[in-house]
Amino acid sequence: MTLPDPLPARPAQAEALDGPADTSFQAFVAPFLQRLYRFLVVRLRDEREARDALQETLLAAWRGRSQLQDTDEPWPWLAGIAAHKAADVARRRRHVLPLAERADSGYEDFTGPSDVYAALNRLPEKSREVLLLRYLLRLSERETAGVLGVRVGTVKSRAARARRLLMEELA
Amino acid sequence: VRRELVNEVEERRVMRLLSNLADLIPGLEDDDLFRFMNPSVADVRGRRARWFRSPPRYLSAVAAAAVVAIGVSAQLHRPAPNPSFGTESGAAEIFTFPEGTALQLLLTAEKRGKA
Repeated sequence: MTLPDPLPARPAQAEALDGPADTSFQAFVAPFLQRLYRFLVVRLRDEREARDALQETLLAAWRGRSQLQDTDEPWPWLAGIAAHKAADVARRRRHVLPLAERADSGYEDFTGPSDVYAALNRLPEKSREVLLLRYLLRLSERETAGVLGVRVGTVKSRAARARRLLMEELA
Repeated sequence: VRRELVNEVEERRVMRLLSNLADLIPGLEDDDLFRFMNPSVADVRGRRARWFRSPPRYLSAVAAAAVVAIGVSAQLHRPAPNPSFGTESGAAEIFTFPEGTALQLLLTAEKRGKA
């Protein structure tokens, strides 16, 4: 199924990336920043970590911007980097601070604005990840599979299960 | 067909829920946007900051070598100790022991002898 894409089509700026480096890069990332940031806040549940992850994402994108000229899909490319950075942060956090200790540690858990946020946070990590990639970042099944390194069929089944779990949490 | 339709409805619902959720999260301020859109600046600053936080490891080896070199140099340039102490040189050296100077020890021993 093809979902409507709320994002701008392939930005013309992508072609200009071999121009003056900084201005073309700015033009390329500008339309995506807020959405990436919000994705990272929901994914990491921490605004400060979301900012760090966004910074790391953009640095990685800037360093690898030569790859961008070879792809027709700049948004999945950028979203994929953000998803990997978020996964790295989440993994590091698990090593540094076990979940049980977080409550007393002064860890800045982002206070979600809605029941949906709370419900999302009760889902297993894999379900949350697939929901955010598919329905918040609006990646296709194929693109999501590419980011997660799994088959398209796995994305389909994982997304269906995740949707069901979310609905149960919201019921 | 019906299953696909149900899936599609479900997908649209989840999409709407997550979009609404995203809209409720305060976005980045203009200053932040500017900073994020200039990763090349951040890259240079980050490298500098990283360098100061944890300078390259070879620096500690260089520092250790420098300390050794200074130590050796100090040993080589130290004036040789005067071997002609004692009565022959006429220089009255006072030898200090943990218990006191040699003179104090002598005086103490003499007092004990008299007593």
